[in-house]
Amino acid sequence: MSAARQSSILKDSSLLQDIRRDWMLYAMLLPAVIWFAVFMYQPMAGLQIAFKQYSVFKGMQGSPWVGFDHFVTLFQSDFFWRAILNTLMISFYSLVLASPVPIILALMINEVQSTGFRKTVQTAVYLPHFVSFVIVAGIVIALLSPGNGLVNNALEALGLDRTYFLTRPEWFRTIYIGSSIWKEAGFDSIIYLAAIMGINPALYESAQIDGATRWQMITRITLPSILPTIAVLFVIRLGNVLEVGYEYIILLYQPTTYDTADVISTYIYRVGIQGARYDIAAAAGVFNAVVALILVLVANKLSRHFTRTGVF
Amino acid sequence: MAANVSLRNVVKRFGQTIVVNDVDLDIRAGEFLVLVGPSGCGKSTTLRLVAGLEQVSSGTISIDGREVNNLAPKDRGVAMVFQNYALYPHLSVRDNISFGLRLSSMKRADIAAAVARAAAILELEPLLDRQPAELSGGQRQRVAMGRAIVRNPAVFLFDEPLSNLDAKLRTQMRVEIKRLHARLGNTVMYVTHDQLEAMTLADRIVVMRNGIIEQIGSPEQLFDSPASAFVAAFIGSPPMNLIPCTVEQSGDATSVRLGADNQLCLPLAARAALIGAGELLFGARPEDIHLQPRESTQPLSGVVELVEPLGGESLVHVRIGGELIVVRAEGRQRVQSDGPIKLHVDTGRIYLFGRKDDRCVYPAPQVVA
Repeated sequence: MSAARQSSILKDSSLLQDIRRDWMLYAMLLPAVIWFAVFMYQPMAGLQIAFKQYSVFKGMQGSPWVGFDHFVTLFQSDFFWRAILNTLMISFYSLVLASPVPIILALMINEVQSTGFRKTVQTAVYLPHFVSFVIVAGIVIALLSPGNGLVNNALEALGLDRTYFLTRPEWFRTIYIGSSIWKEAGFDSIIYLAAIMGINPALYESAQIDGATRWQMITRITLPSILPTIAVLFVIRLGNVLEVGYEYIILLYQPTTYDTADVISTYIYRVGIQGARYDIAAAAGVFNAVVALILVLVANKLSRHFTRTGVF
Repeated sequence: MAANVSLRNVVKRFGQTIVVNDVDLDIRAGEFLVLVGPSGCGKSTTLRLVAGLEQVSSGTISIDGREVNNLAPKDRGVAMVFQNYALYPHLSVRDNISFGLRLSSMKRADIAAAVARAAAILELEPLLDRQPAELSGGQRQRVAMGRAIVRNPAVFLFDEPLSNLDAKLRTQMRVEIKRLHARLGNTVMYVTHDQLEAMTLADRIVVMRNGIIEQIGSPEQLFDSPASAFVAAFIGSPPMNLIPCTVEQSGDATSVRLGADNQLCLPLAARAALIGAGELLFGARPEDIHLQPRESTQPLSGVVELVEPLGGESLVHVRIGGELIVVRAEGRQRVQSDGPIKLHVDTGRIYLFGRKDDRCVYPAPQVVA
C-alpha cells in the first residue's frame, strides 16, 4: 500500500471518528451545509449555459455548446462595457464615500457620554436599515419630486430652478450612494462599535496620563485598534464591488439615466430575464463572479500584507 | 525626583455608594507606600484619584504641596502602571515607551535618549522592536514600567501590576520593582491585594477596608501590632489564628478560656486592659504556636486534622474545641494526622480583639504615624 493511500485512509478514519464523537456539532452544521448545497452549489450547474446556445425547449442538456461565443458577444457590446464602467464607478464611490461613514459614526457614538442620548442616536441611525428598498425609493422619489418635493421646494425658496433629479444622469450616482449611506451606515456601524467596545479601557486611561487629547486617542488608539475589523470588512466589501444592489437601482433608474445607472446586474436582468437571453446573462454572471473572486483574493492578500489580518 | 503626596478628608462617591470614605494620608517623598486590602476596599479608587482618572467627591489631594484636584492627569507629575499592562497592541515596544513623549512634541533625539535610558534600566534593549504580542507577561510588565519611567515622574502609581503573572515571575518582578525604586528613588504608591507583596515591598503599608484606612504602619508594625482582627487576619501567611474566647478573672490571675478543654493564663500586663472584657477573639500567629514546650509557652490540646508538608516546614491544621487553627511546624517534624496533639502557645505573643468592634485590646495598640 502506498504511503499516500495509507495517509488518506488514516485521514478518512479520523474524520469518521470526529463525526462519531461530535455528531451533535455536525448535526447543527447540517442545515447550513444543505442550504449552501441547494442554493449556492446546485445552481452552479446552470453556469454551463454561459457556454451553450441555450434554448428553453431543448433544455440545458440538449442545447449545443458554443464555447466562448457569448463572452465575445458581451465584450463587443457597448452596453456591457457601459454597465461594467457604471458598476465600477458606483462601487468605487461607495467604497470611498460610504465605507468611512459607519466608522465615523461609530467613533462619534462612542464619544457620546450620556447613555440615554447614545441609545436614542443608535436607534435613530439603525432604523433605516429595516426599511425596505421600495420604501426608501419611495421616500427618495417623493423628496426629489419636481412637483412638490422637499428638495425642489427648498431650491425654489432659495431662488434656484426646480430640477427633476431622477431623470438627470449626472445626479444618479449621488442620489444612489447618498440614500444608500443614509439607509445602511447606522447598521454597518454596529460592527465597528462592537470592535471599539472591545478595546481595553486601560489604554485610554494610560493615554490620558500621557496627556493625549480625545482626538489623539481616536487617531492613535481607537482607529489602529479597530484596523483589523476595518480591513476584514473592506475585503468583504471589495468582493461585492461588482454586486451593486440591482433592486434599488431598478426602483430608481429610468431610460434617461441608463448612461450612469445601468450596472451589470440590471443589464443581466434586462437582457436575461426581460429579453429571455439566459445564456448571455449567464455569461455576464460568470464574468462578474470571476472578477469578484480575483478582487477578493487580491484584497485579502493586500490586507494580510499591510494589516496582518485577512478573511482567509 | 520625588514628591510627597497628601490626601486630606478625601471622599469618593459613585452614586449613593461611598467607595473612599474620609481618607487622610501623607506619603513622604521617596517613600514606597503600599495600599492593601480585599476587593472593593477602595484601594484602587484611591490610586486613581491620585492619578486624576477619577475626580474626588470632596477633600483635597496635593502632590509636592500643590493641590491637584483640578489638574489633568498629565499635569500631576505621575505615571501609572496598570494591572493588565495597557500596552498599545499596534505599537512596538519602542513606540509604546515613547508614546507619551511623542505627544508632548519633544525632540526626536531627546525621545530616543529617554527611551534608551529606560530600556537600559529595565534591560529591554533587545525587545525594542518587538510587538507586545511577541512578549511574555513579565516582559510586558517591564515595558509598562518603561513607559512610566520614561516620563520621569515624581510619583509612580502601580495598580496591582503583578496580578496577571504566575507565582515565580511575580517573585522575580517584585525584586525588580524593589531594585528599581532603590535606583530611581521616586515616590511610589502601590496597590495590591497580596499581603506578601505588601510586606516585601513597602516602607509603609496602608490597610484599607470598606473605603476607610484600617491601619498604617511599617510591615513589622502591622505584623507585630495589628490594630484590629481584620489587619491581623490580612497580614501574614498563613494568617493569624483567631478563636472566640472568654476572659476569666480569678483573684490576681487572668486567663482566657478556649472551648471547654483549654485555658491560658495571661501575663499581669493584660489584667488592666481586660477588666470587664467578656467575649473576645484570641489571636496567635502560626509561628507562635509550637509543637515542643519553650520558655513562656503554655500548653493547648487539640486534634490534628491535616498536615501540609512544605519541604522545610509543615502546616499543621489542629482542631481546638470547635475551631480550626494552623500551626507552622519548623524543620521536618513528623506529625500524625487524626491524632491528639499538645501545642505550646507563646503567651508573650498572643493578641486579644474585641468580638464586636474588632479592635485590639491586648497588647495595647501602638500609635504610629
